[in-house]
Amino acid sequence: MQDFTSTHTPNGISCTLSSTLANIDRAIACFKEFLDSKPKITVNKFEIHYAIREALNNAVIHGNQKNDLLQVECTLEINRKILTISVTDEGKGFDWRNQLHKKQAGSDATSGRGLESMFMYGFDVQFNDSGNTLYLTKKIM
Amino acid sequence: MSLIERKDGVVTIKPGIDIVASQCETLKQEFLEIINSGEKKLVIDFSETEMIDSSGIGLLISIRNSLTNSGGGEIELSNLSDDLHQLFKVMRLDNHFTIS
Repeated sequence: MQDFTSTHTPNGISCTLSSTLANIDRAIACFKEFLDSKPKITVNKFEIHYAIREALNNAVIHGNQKNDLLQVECTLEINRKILTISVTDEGKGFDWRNQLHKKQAGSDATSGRGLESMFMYGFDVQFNDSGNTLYLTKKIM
Repeated sequence: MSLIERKDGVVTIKPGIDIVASQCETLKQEFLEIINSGEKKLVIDFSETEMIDSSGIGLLISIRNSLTNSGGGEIELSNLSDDLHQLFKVMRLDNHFTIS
């Protein structure tokens, strides 16, 4: 099993990583480089980086429980002014239906802000049935 | 390792890195060491910090709680980028920290 690989696709980039926090930083660096290579796309890159980071945190920390024998696959694609991010972990998933209906985290909560921030930045948030794949989409200019 | 400066009863901490999950354990130890030494006024300088994530936000809240539990004090967040400032505002962190 490779610790970290990244592959460019015609419209995006894909990373596969073993579930360590350091590999989240490596993946973010790859996605930053990809977005920086697309000067014609006018998008707030901070928002994109933040959302990808939160999605990867959820997959590595909660989904795969930081088990470095388990992998996370993350892709970012831009097609016809739609940015799509998908993140899949090897965990058992979670009750995302319940999570989506929860109120925002209290201002003094030390956790529980990940999904809230994705909505805040205008992403459409969807999951597969079991909840171990997250899909984020956003219209860009 | 953060840059730490003590002046007139104020401790300024400049992490110099992004405050994200991979860095939180080290940063937490640094912050707790300062709080446990009895300091009451902390300034966290974000001038070289481009990104924070929910783990980092959780860390800041937990440091604030530790300061409160050790008798109270104040944490100021300074030199935030516009993006971080907006994020902190929307996440309601301005209820707990002085943002300058």
